[in-house]
Amino acid sequence: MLVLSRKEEQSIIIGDNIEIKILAIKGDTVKIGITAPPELKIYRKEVFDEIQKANIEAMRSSKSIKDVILGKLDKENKGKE
Amino acid sequence: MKILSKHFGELEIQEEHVITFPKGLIGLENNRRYVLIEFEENSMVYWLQSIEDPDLCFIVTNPYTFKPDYVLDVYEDDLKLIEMEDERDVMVLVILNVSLDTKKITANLLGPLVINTKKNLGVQAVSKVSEYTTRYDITNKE
Repeated sequence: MLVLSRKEEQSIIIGDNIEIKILAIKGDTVKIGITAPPELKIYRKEVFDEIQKANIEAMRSSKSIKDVILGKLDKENKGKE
Repeated sequence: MKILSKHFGELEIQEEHVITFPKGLIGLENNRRYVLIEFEENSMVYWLQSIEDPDLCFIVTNPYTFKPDYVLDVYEDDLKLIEMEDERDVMVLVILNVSLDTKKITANLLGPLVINTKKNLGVQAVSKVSEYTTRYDITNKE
């Protein structure tokens, strides 16, 4: 991992069209501004972690979801009759 | 071809029904080929079954059935991956989960599956809509 020290208002350039700027440092929080092409995926790592966790849980619980959904569909079908 | 599924045992599927996720699903990058199996006729709920790993199986549904105002706002890179050219070729699905204690069904609105039905290419995209979560209660009436 490349490690660089930066102060407020200083930037890092990645490639030809990505700039990461330190906008503010307050307490334990750093505010970062990113300029990058719109097609590039940029998101907090927690988002990735959360989706990954949800995928694994969903995979493990497909049997119980099946039972819950089938119960629900049955109820709906009965409601129609 | 014959595949082994988690809930239906051996299944005969057509090669042209296989959907390829070039990057797999998030956290499950090694499995790339899936089929969609209708759960019950006209239920809009499907099994997404890996054709490589029988245990890899999800229940997915069209998000518009329970959230008509669902917004698909995803990164262009994800849409490039599925070679999307025409919005009409796109099918959006979300993965369902169940809370073991409350038995409530939730949907992952944060990581929708976007499928190019013309090319049978899919991606688990990341939604840019910041209020979407991985656990949206589908019985939630707003």
